[in-house]
Amino acid sequence: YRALLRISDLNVTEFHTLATVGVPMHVIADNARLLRDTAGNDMTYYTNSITLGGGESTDVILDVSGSQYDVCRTNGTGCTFFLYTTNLDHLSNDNENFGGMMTQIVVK
Amino acid sequence: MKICTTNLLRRWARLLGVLATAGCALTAQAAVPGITGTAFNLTASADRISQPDGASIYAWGYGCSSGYTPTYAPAAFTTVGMCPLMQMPGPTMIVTEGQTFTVTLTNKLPALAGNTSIVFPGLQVTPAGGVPGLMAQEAANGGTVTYTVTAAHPGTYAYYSGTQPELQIEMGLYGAVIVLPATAPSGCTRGDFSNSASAYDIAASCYDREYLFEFSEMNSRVHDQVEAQVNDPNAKTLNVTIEPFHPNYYLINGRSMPDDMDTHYSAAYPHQPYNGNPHMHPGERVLMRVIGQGRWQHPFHFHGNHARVLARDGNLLVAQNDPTKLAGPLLFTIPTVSGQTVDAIFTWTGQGLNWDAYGSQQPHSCNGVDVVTARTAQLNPSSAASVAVLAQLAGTSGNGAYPTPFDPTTHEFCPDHGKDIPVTPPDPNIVANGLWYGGTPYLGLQGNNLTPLPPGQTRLNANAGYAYMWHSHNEREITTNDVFPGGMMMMLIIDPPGSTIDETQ
Repeated sequence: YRALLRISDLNVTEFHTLATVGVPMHVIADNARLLRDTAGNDMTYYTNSITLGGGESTDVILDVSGSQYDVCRTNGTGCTFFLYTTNLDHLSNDNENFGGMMTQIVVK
Repeated sequence: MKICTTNLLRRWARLLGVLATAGCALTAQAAVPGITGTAFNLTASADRISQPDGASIYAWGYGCSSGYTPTYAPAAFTTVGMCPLMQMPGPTMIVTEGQTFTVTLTNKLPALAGNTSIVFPGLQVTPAGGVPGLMAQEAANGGTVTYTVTAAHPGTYAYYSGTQPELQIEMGLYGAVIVLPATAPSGCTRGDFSNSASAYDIAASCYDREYLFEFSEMNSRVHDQVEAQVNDPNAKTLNVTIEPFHPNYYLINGRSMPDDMDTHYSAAYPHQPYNGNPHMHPGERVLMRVIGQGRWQHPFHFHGNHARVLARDGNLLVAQNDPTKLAGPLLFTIPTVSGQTVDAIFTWTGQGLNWDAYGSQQPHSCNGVDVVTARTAQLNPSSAASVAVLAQLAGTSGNGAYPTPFDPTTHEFCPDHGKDIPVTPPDPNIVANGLWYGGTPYLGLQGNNLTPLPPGQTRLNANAGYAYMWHSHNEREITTNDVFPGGMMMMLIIDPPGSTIDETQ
């Protein structure tokens, strides 16, 4: 019930913010290093959005083991959540709306 | 191998009053030059800055008031330092934790520009004189205002105009304040030419050399508009179109690449005194002071290693249960957020390359093991003799002189000592050499071959160090007015141990 999202920003012009609604992201690593301080403490955190510029990367765990997702596993069709950029002007394919930087997380 | 400029060493030795040693000493040279003291007299005025595409751009900037002779820091820059009436960025003011200092600002901008001022985010400020403005006490045209500032904590801070900042900062009115810790933690050694032994009050923030990188953008069309109106006798007010904002120049310390890799205080850039040209020896801890002075974020992508973030906006990040341990992340890209400062420590030893960067057949020793012995052990690691050699290289043999896998003098990563490079280097007669190629895949000039490059090849890397690109990863920003290469780009040079790095040349 846990998925690892490896996110790498390859763009060369702008910063982008990726967000989820309904499935919080547990950021466990940034720039390919586990988030720990030098005393070994866990510095990971939960968030609904991550912002990356070109050359940056992050690793995020999506955890849907909670009971609020049980219905997804029993309703036969699953549940759909979106992973999308909150830079809403990037949710298009040229003039065509409803495109661009968006994908879905399906929990079954 | 040792590459030293002996005359230069003697000159510096006399300046410092220390005895020049017989061999070549490592002369670590810091590179955050600026002005220091407790009373700074700054003027805001207009002049021109130059860009590598040949453009001479009208700009505004802080500089040293006429009649005010600043004290330059670090001391090595005393004979080469300059502080013109206008410079971009403004003079870097270097002060000490707990110290109160005054900044008297005189407004010599054109009358059409109106008032100007300085804000010091993160520092405590009390103004005197001047006229009240929206965000700060301001200097009216031709007038002055005095700010009394206390730097309560060490760190890297930005200063910039608090008057019509959307125009005045873009025109060039910004700079940095460096606050040094009041007492150095024990165990830290201040390099002869460093501003300080450590960035903050803990030993984990000790460093060997330091660099300041102020990132900003410029739209020359805005500057052209301002210049035209300033020169128009009929203009009553300044009416400039700034949005949509489309910069065409991307600057590090006021300069675009390759100018940023020229020297500090170069006469070629009389109003852009600071450079972006980091050099280091293996094993040195390099303090990166990074400031986002523009209005855009730039992903500052520094090749070669991760850096450990010390602090953000002058706030040291430490572990909750152990204030001697750093808590900032390891990053290979620092997003230069507008108005934010980040301090980070970078180092490089060659660990991870998995071959001997100094040449597996080039005489040199690591942890007391010569390269011939090491190479034999690496080629046949299971023999009893090899096991002992490899343990000494790894620092696990119990030999008190070599307790770590890093050589105590050169900081070479000894477990790779004597390992052959795992590829066959190409025929040097048929490769195209990059501008910073040292001539071989190895760090430093190899053996007696002091001229490994074909005739006519530019040698931008005289010590044959390793070059790593430090740049904005928004690649459109490594251009100068649409021309590549340019803009926010520089090369970090890892100079071989024993070579002299002179930041004043």
